[in-house]
Amino acid sequence: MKTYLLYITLIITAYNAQAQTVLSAKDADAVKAKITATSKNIQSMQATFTQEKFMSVLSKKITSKGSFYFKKENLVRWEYTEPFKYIIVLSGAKVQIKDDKKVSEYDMSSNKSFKQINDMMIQLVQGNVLNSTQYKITYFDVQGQYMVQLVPIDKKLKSMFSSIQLYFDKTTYDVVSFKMIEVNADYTLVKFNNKKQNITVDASKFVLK
Amino acid sequence: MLHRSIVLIFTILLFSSLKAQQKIPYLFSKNDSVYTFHALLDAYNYHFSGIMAIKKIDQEHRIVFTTETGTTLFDFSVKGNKCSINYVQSDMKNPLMLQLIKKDLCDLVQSYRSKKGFEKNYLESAEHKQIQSNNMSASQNIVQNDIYSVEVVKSSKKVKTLFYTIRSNTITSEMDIRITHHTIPVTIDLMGFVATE
Repeated sequence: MKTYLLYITLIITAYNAQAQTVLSAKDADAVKAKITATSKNIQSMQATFTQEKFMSVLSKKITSKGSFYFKKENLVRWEYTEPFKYIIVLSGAKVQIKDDKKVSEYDMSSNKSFKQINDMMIQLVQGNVLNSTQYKITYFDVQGQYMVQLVPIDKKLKSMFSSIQLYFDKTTYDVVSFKMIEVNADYTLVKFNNKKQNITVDASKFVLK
Repeated sequence: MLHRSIVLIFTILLFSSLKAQQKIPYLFSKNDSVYTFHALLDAYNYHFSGIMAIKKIDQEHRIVFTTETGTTLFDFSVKGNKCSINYVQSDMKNPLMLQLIKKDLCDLVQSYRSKKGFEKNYLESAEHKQIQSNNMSASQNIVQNDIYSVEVVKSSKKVKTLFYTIRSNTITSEMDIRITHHTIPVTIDLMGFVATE
């Protein structure tokens, strides 16, 4: 029995090793340059997204869906349609949240973690996150995609996340998904679909009334 | 004539009383079901929004709030009369705010641990007894169709109000709950209650 378990462990380890390879410094630099160049060309972006939140205590995933909009420099709109309808607009230091009852407006400083994560997301879309000194950054080749793993160095981020994994398309170098893994191994996975870049996104998308 | 009037008044009172008793369902009771809300917390100068999930596991309830940016804001356990903190994010570590939100949410879950809650007679409910033990009183009112409120009063001053807006009559229905404090700037909004197995 022990021998079987050993074989199974070896097979899984070998499979994982094959599935996820750390890039050499030279390859990592090349991938970083390509991702940064691609991201810097993004003036606007529109996509649909699926967000999966896994919480071990619930032993199930909560899946949310909606649309994502970004406009340079720092305008972001998350429009959730399932399971609850609400919209979050981030505009500079302001956050607006609209549910079916009202629009609420807050200063981002009223939720510092929110600000920190939002900054990370904007840096991600703009490609600056790869130059961040707040993380230890490692590049991986993961079957058909590049995965950039960010391990927080910053004390506050470290208290929230064990790592953040960014997945990029191997041919276009666009961000495909990202996974934020909390210290207790709970995670949030956001996948982008139907991406459209550098299209006209009306300014009204970033003002809630 | 007098007899008829008395019967009519009695019938109206009975029906309005039954309506109040029937329409507020017994929440958070099913083992292993997950109850989720879109949640907004406003406390002093802090604001948090995301999804709050409540799960009953045997005799324990877990209350977990996750922000839309993917971080767990807090994780509470409610067992018997004990409410404990399993995890809290640093942004929530203002002790006054944390204790107040913890108490409100644990009270909310505990209120429906027993079927004595709204289903029978609110004045005999565990929630009402708990409120009375803190030298406060409470009353249950029908605000309008499908909106119910519980007002908690101390020394004839309103302390907090719980509003229940029911969107249909089944246990798995969508429901909004709002807890508003009147003496301190704290509001908890739980919207679009959904129960899943």
